[in-house]
Parts: sequence; structure tokens; C-alpha cells
Amino acid sequence: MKALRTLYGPIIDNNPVTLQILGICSALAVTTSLSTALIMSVALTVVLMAGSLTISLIRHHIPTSIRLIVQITIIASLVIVTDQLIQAFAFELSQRLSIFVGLIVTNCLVLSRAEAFAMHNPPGISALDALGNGLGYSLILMIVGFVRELLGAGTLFGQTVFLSVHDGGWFVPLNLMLLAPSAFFILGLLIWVIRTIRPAQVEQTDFVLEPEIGEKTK
Amino acid sequence: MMGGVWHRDTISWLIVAAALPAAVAAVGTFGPLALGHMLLALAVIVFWQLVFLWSRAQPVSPIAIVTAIAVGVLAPGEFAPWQIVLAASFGTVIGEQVFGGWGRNIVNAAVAMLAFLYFAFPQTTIPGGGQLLALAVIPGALMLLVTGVLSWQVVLSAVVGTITVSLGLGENPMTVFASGSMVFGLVFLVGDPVASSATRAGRWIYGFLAGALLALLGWTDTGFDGPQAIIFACLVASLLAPLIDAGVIAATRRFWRPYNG
Repeated sequence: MKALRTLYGPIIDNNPVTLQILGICSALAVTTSLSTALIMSVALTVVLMAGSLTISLIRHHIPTSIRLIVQITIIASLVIVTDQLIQAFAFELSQRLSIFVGLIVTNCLVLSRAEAFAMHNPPGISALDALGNGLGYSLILMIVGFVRELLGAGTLFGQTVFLSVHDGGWFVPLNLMLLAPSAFFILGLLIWVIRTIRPAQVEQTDFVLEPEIGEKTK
Repeated sequence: MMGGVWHRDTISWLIVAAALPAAVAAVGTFGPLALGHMLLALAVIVFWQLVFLWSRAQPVSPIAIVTAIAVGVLAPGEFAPWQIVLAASFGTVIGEQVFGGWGRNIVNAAVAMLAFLYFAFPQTTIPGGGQLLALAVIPGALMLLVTGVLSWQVVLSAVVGTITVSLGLGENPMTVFASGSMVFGLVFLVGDPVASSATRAGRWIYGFLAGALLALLGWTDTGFDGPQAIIFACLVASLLAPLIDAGVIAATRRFWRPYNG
């Protein structure tokens, strides 16, 4: 039961992107189309799982003072392997993803799971936690990618859904959706929706405004 | 009994009154297209204000009229109605209502709206208003200056900023001030009392920044490039306004610390 909660907890309740606001950089950069978002999600989930598993296995042998270096070395090696695999089997997509697969090394999400969870828990549950976080990240990326590709180009996975006006259809592509700010707007709206449904995620207010002058003297 | 005359909506009604001559001049210059955009945008904004009144008890504000007028003045291009509806919804919800309504927003709702329009539909060309529009803005601007709603520091430093950078680029700054859209934007968007800086020194910096950016973004090889420049200059300046204020307050504190013990 606890294992199951470790797996599905991070998908919505403790989502790494919408609650912890981690991994935003890649969520902005690769979501202009669903296929790049999918490859990125798979790559991150694989790296996250393998990294957490490895670090958890050797957690008793890592000296505390150099643990971050060890963690990053392991993650970086995994990222290089993943990057090479993508270049070998999906070269065109790897060109479109440019440096973002390589930048998984610096993704706060991967390091935070290694440091906060895998260092203190046995391998099985660490792998489940990593899988849950990877799926949570993937879910957000797929939603953002879906909205951006559909409204920005009228396609899904490169297949035409709405025929654009240039090709004789009716759909006017929203160029804004292909620019980075739109990902921020979609993420913001998504966080708004999630926190409306689950008010437990709302942070405490930093300060309370005084009532307006008119209301005070009424 | 209300708390004195200077209620939040007194200020917004004053701004509405000041913007009316400009609205008439814009309809005269650009024709019924501008009027259509204004009415459509107004309907959309009022709709969203009512939604937030109902769901969050946020009071509605007549500032909606000014925002709608700004859309008509600065976006008199061939936009389809759904494009205006989308942009107006975006601007009023993301730019204003989510922060708690007019008076608590960070950027002017009209600026958010127009930035959305320009970014999302860059194919549409937008004409800039002529001298008639510029002249129509003047009486409203004077009225706002006298009542203190519009800060004279912001206006003066923005004008100085525009002239300085224009001369630096080797262009004639009078071209900017002969364009009605620029003058309208300078008074109602850059000079917006909510989104601009609030400290005295901050106003000088903010206005100069907005004016300098306007000239920097506006001058191209082919002449002065219309309303986009004022919107993006205003967007950047108003995003930096809270930072400028915080800097001014910190500097003032540091300056007075030896005397206050």
C-alpha cells in the first residue's frame, strides 16, 4: 500500500512540476510539439529511474561529503548513454531536442529525487518513487505539449488535425503558442485548476491586504 | 457614506473621462473598425469582471472602458472578432483579474491584451494614429496631471528618455510625438497610476526607462515603427517598476540610517 502511494503520489498530489515547480526550463523548451515532449519525458523517466536505483543501491558506500559529486557523475553517465541512444535511433528528433536531453543532468528534479529519496530508501521503493515522479513530469509535459501543438500548428504528433488557412482550411495558427511565454501561461492555468480542485496544495498567504477605504468606513 | 471623494472608482472614472476625446478621435481616424473593436473588447471585459464578481466577490471597475478604448486606439488592424475576444479575455483575466482586480495588477490589462494580439497575430498590420489623435489626448492628459492621477514626473522623464535616445540614434524625436498612438500610450499606458512606479525617484527612473525603450524599440531603418514599440516598452517598464521602487526604498533607508540611529 505504501509502495503504491509512493508511485502515484507524485503524479498529481505531489507533482514535481506543478507543486514543486521543478524542471520548468525543459517543460518550456521541448513542448512545442508532442513528439519532442514524449521523447524528453521518456528520456527523463528512464534516467530518473536508473539513477535513483543505482544511487539507492550504493547509498551506504557514498561518503557524505562528496555525495553530490557522486550523484551527478552517475546521472551524467546515464544521460550521455540516453542521449547517444536517441541520436542512434531517432536522429531527427535528437536534432530538434538539441541540448535539452543533455541538460537533464542539470534538471533539479533528478538531483532532488536522488538527494531527498534515493539516499535514504531501499532500491525497490526508490525506483517506484522515481517512476512516479517521472510520470508526473511526463503528464504535465504531454498536457502542455498537446495544447501548444494543437493550437500553435493545428497538428498532433505531426498529423494534421485542424487544416490551417495556408492549406485551404479554416484554422488560424496561434503563433504565440510556439513561443516560450505560452508554456508559462498554460502551466500557470494548470496549477490554478489543480489548486482549485485540491485546495490542500495552496500555499499559505504571505500577507493580508487591509480592506479598501470605502469598505472600511461603511 | 463612502470614505471621502477619492474612492478607487473616482480615479477610474477620471481616467475614463480623460480617454473619451481620444476615443472619439480614434473612431474618426480609423473608422468604424476601431469602434467595433472597442465595443467588443468592452463586452468581453465586462463579462469577465462579472464572472470574478460572482466567483470571488471582486468589485467591477469602470476602468474596463479605458482598457477597451486602448484596444481600439492601438489595434485598429483587420483583426477577426474571435481574435479580439481571445486577446481581451487573456488580458483582463491574466493581466488584471487574477491579481485581485484593478488596482492590484502588475501590468496594465490593455498592455497584456495588446501584447497578446501583436505576438499571436503578427501578420496583421497596425496603423499608427496621426496628429488629430495626439491633440485629442492632450486635454485629458492635462486634466489627469492637474488632478494628480497622472504623475508629471513619469510624463516628463519619459519624454526626456525618448528625446535622448532618438537624438542618440540620429533621428528626429518630433516624429514620435506627432504620432497619436505614441502620445496615447505614453499618457494612458506608461502613465497608468497602478502599473507605474510609486516612489518619487522611482517615477523618474521608470519614466526615463519607458521613454528610452520606446525610442530604442521603435526606430527602424525605414522610420518609426508604430504601436508595437509603445506596448513592449510599457510591458518591460511596468514589469521592472516594483523592482525600481524596492531599490529606491532600500537606497533611501541606507541614506537615512546614520541620522535615524
